[in-house]
Amino acid sequence: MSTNHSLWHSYLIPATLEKDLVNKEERVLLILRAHPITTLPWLLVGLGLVLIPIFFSPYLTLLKLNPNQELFLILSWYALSFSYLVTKFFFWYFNLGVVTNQKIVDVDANNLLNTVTTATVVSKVEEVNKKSLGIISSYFDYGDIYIETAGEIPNIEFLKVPHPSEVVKLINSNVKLHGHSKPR
Amino acid sequence: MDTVNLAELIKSFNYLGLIFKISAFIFSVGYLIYGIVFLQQQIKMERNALIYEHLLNDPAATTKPGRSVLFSLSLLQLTLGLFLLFTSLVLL
Repeated sequence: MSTNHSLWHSYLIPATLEKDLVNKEERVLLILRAHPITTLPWLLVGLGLVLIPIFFSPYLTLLKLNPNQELFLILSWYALSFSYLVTKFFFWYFNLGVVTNQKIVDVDANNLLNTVTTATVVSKVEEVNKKSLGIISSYFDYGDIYIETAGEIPNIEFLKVPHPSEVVKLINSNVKLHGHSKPR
Repeated sequence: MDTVNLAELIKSFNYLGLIFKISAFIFSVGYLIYGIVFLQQQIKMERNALIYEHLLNDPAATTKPGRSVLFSLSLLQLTLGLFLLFTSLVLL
């Protein structure tokens, strides 16, 4: 089955979306991650970290270390930079929102040892709102989506996701088909 | 005679090198532990989260999703940690 994988896998919809929407069995309709452009700040920081030893390695001789110690310092610097980038990628990759034709799931990786998964059934959805975040978000078409739910179920947030208007439209159609509450 | 030799030995001992070696060892062990925790969490998250991506591609899938790129990266991180530990123990 072909799938529409766009924007670095941050906006995934099945090729058979319309069929899946009305399917009685549970089908995944949409998987969301933050827009790839939001990764730019930490990618630039990572680039800076990689470049630092190139500019500062001549000054290492001032510390009067032996070559093995110098090698260890440079190696551990690169190891730290690598871990910084991999950890940031981890948070981006595992902060995801999932919309199925029966439920909505929000997976938040807050830190390495603390991940929170919030889920609600479509029938509990009361309101779906989107929020644009400024000029850059308008240009790259990303924004925040807030899903208000009935009762004590915590609200669900998809932050900085691509094509927010289309996501809201899809969730509203889903609620119309499978939910009881009236969408906005 | 022996006391004089011992005093000279203590005087000539490279304390900075020893401190560097101990710090390097502690850093390497810490990095290795972080690498192990990272790999564990990454496998756990893959099991919980990536299943949806797998189901989106193939709704009738009964197999588990394959390993992601992140798995290779976390293995690389672990290898780096082992290499740092080896360096701190042997080369420094």
